[in-house]
Amino acid sequence: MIQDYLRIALRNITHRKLRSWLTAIGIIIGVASVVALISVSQGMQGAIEEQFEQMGTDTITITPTSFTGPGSTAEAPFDDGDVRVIERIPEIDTVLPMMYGTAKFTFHNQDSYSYLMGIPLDKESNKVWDDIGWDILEGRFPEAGKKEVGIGYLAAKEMFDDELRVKNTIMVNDEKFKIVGIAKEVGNSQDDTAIYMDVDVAKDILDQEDYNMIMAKVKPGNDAELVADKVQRKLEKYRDAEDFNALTPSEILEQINDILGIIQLVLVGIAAISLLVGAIGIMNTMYTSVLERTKEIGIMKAIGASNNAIMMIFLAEAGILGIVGGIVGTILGMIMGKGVEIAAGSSGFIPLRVEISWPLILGAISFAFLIGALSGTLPALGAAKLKPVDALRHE
Amino acid sequence: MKAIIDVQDVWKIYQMGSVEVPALRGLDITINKGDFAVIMGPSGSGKSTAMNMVGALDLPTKGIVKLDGRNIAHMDESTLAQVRGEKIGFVFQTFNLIPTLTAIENVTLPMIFKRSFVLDKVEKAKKILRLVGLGERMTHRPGELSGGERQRVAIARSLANDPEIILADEPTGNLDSKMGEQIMDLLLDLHEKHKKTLIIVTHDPRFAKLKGVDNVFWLKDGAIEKKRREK
Ligand SMILES: Nc1ncnc2c1ncn2[C@@H]1O[C@H](COP(=O)(O)OP(=O)(O)OP(=O)(O)O)[C@@H](O)[C@H]1O
Ligand SMILES: [Mg+2]
Repeated sequence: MIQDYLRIALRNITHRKLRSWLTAIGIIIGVASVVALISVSQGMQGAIEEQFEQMGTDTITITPTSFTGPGSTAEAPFDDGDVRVIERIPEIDTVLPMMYGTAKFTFHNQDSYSYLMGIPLDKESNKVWDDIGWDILEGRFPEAGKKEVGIGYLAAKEMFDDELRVKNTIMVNDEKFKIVGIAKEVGNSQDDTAIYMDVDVAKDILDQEDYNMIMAKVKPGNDAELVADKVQRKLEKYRDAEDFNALTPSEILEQINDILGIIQLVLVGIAAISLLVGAIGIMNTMYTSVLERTKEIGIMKAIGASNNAIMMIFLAEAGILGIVGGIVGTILGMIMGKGVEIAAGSSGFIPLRVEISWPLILGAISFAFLIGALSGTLPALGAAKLKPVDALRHE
Repeated sequence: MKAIIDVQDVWKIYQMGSVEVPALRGLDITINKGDFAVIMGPSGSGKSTAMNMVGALDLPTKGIVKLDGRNIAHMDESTLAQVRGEKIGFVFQTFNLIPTLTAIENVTLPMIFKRSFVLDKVEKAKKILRLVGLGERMTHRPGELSGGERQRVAIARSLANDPEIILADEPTGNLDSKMGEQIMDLLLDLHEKHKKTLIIVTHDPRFAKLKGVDNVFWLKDGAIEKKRREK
């Protein structure tokens, strides 16, 4: 019986192909944008999580509360006193003060401004870099105290017309440096376009004493989050200010996920409005359909259709419109998501992997069906309630 | 003999704004099972209104309509739908087929709406279509059929659930006289060979003269003016 109703509904839909497609487009656009946004943000979240996993769970990152990312002019807030306070905490293994800033690089008489990172490069620190997964593609790490640089993977390729190679000489803020290593691709543009040198050497080159951030490795067997809390307390006492955060990778990840979650909610909320418009489109089409087919409703009632049967036929029609919109919209949304992935990958902006998520696909399609059926409910009820004589008299 | 249709003192008053239009004024009609009855009358005399009552498409303002001994005023919506679908086969002047469905699908429609499951709906529909002389063109849609062919499909549809009563309102009104006679013969055949109670509503006096007619009711201003009973 249900399949008979479905067939009748399908006939009505295919009978008015253009109008049916126009109606479905409303749902298609809504579903496509919701699916694209969700899959892209899921992909982004996955990529970010992957990066944090590389860092391990036992590194604490101490950063100023105010955002001082690359390119920011905010003053670097940490000094050697801060470093010593952290070093004195017994659960801490290695402390890695870092600084970064923009510097002028000259190669083959060509100038280029890029991002310089000063990082500690002694034996202990190198072990940490190793753990994190920083790896050299070619050559070796620069040595502490020497005028040597390591070049990020993309920086080597794209910074100058000529590709940078190990053993080349490069001027950094007009001082001669030797390139000793090219880094393996990390996957995010910030790290891949940077140039690395010993932090003490960077002090002279960037002409700054203070550090932009400090990383600290926790001794094995300690709870990283508890140690992070301890670092926070001790450093707060020493600095007499709460202008920084000591966080473990999972805590940072949580914060990022919180922000991503809000962005996701806002974006999906906006996309949901187009779904609402799509739903109104279906309702409008169904009302028109009921009006146009009033006589048919009368005929069907005269030959034995119950109110329920009429209701089912119209609900099926609205549901099919919804489900077709859902399927096409989901496919389109996935394609859009993949497009964003490819665009993001080629620009090196943010690494993200858009994966086909079955819960998302099934969720989107059933949601679209539900929207269709719901928007069809009122028109279908109206159709069911028509009196047979009145409907039959309708021309 | 037991009356299959019993209309007693039925009034139907339409409310047109503040004006009351009485379409039926104390109508009495009794038709026995297996009879061939003709309801005649000039335009506006209330024939279609009477047919709506007899076909359980509408309820009277006053009076009693009994189908097979049961008062239709005491039936709920779904029972009325069931009665219309299974006891009565309607044939309309304007055919009233569903344009998006093929001939076969139009004929299966009443079986789909039937409460109990019908086995092999399509086979049954084909059989009925052959019976009404539409062996070919079964997969055509109404728009691709002539008027006479459409009315054959409509008659086939009226037979889908083996109803006891066939109720036809001006079945030949939209056909030329040759086509009309063929449809007339087909309906008579169903009455004679298949023992259907046949009720024809018409303003065409030729029907009253057909042989085999058991009852003729002449309607005027919503009441029976004259009736004739053969046998
Ligand atoms: N829904 C309605 N609302 C108001 N008046 C109606 C309605 N249906 C019928 N009438 C009126 O009731 C009277 C009888 O109408 P009915 O359709 O039964 O006549 P009829 O005998 O079938 O006529 P015809 O031969 O033209 O089909 C007419 O005066 C008509 O205008
Ligand atoms: Mg009439």
